[in-house]
Amino acid sequence: MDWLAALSREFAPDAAAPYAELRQAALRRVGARGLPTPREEAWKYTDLKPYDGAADAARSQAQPSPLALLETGGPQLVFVDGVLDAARSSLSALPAGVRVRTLSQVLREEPDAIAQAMARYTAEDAQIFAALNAACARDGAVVELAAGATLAQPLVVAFLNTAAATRLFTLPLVVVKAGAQSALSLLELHYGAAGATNHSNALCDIEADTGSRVEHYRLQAEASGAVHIGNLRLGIGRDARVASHSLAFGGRLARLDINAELTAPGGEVVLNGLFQAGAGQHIDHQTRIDHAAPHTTSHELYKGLAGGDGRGVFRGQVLVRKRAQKIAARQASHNLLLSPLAEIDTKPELEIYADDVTCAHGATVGQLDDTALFYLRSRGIAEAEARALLVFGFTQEVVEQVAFEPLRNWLAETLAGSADVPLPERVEVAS
Amino acid sequence: MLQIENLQVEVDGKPILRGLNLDVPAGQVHAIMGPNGSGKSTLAHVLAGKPGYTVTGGSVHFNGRDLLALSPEERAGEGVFLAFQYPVEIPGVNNVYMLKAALNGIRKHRGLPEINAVEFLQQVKAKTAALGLKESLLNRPVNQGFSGGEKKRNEIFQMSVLEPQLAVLDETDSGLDIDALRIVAEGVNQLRDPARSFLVVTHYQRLLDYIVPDVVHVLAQGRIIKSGPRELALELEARGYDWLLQAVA
Repeated sequence: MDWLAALSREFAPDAAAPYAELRQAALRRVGARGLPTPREEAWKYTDLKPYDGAADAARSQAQPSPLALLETGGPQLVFVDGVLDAARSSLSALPAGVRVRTLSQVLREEPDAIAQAMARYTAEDAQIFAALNAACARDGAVVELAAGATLAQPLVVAFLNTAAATRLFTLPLVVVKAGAQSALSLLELHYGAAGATNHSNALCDIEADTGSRVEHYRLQAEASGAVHIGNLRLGIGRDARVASHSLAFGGRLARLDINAELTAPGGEVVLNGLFQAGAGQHIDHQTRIDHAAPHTTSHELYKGLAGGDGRGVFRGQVLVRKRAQKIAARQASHNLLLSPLAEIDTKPELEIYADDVTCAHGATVGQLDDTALFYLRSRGIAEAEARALLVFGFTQEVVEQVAFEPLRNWLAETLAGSADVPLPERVEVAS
Repeated sequence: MLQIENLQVEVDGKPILRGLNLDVPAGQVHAIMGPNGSGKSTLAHVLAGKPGYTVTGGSVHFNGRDLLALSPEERAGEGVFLAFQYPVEIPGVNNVYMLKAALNGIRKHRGLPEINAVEFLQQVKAKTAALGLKESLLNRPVNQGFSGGEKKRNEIFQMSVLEPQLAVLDETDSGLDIDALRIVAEGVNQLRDPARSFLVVTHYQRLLDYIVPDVVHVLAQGRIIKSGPRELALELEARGYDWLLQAVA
């Protein structure tokens, strides 16, 4: 399969549409560059060969369904196989100062509303998949909050993929502009039904203006035959606070790049993450926090689980620029291997150029604690349940930070059931 | 209730228990004392089914059943409880949640339905009060951030909720000050019952001032070398173990 030919055929930028020149140029650059290879540091642990390989729809299993999250009665936009499902979308209850439109509507009515994002991702130095999305995205969501506006009930933007999709690619684009002193809660949901073999390339850009508060949840529950590549950028202004929770469970190949930019004093970012790579899955997170201004704060906590022959990757870059004095950065990456064939690579990378800063980091990869397992079993808890309980406990630090209750409940249920997955037989190596 | 015959156990190929015999009838409290390295904790662990021990000979029967053939959770289901010397911290799992899973595991083993949630909470609250445990500890992760005394009290609290037939206390007195020791001992004494037995493993006779045993056994070099009434513990306190070891040698 030639992914670029498929993409160009399905999503050739329309010459008459807004940003045609920028988009065509971006697509040409992507084509000329080709897919990254493991020789590049950012792709060291993630081989993109499956991107070009054929998927087996019959073996593509669905994750536990999070579709109940679309029944909370709150505002939502739902896309199925890349196309808006108007019947399941509802924006009637939005408070004053909160504007939510589809990307296609914005491209028709007011293309300037996404000018900054378009310029950023069609630039020469844009990450390849972000550029690809910016070049070809047809639909998605544009969320704008006026100064002081508040959307307390989470806005759900859902991208659902089915086995009936006629296109290989979906290119969801979400642009969020939170005005000064505004407050927003947003759930970006990616879900694939059984049999789905979609290639999702999702891009989300969140710009949080002075004093704003943004809570962003990203639940990735693609089917096990899907490829999911995501990019997330958080622009954090003066005294603004953005918390972004990445909860990644699906895809045979899943990757998320997060770039958090603390551009003015008082800015704070929370990156909270949980991933679970089961048999046949590869889930990679690359996060980069840029302390570009003094008096900024970052808290990062990622927890990873890998079972079967699953593979997880976490790379956490923290850059503290020379002018960024009096910053505080805390990073932790803790990982649990649930089978002898599972693997997780974690790599903290701190680059600190300022001298008056507080930075701390820690990374661990371990297995379930045998003593704890025995303790629970000695109390009468069966081994499988004891394992599930320990896995559940391991994830709680992340789950507890999820304030959106239906999502937290979904996570608790999914995680409590997760270690029931039978582990492969221990491989005996003959000596 | 508990019958141990000629039990032989190795750890990493090294013999630790070398033919241990012990009989604990229902309703009695037996104390196991002995010098460091005599195999006291090994005995406690082997009874609860901790992995890492190889039984090379002998048998353990509990109410007539071959205990050694059962998994740790099955032993709990049969009514065996081990109060750990070092209770384990379990981050992210709250105390009461774990206890409910434990109680339901035991009930399932006995063919009983799951316990009613309201009834369970009432029971648990009554028992925290009886042990002077703060109710807030119930909703904290298991043993995490507990003081040494709270951890030991939590073991006894779990025991009081799970109501075992045989409770094995592995150096429950270690690391406790005299007040905490008294509270833990009172908790144990409240649970004394004609149908329940205790095996109290301890290094010091101090605990036995509070939990008065029916029989005291001296474990040394992997065997019970002497058994006697309560006064034996006092004699050990006064004279140490050497006179006994010499008599055996």
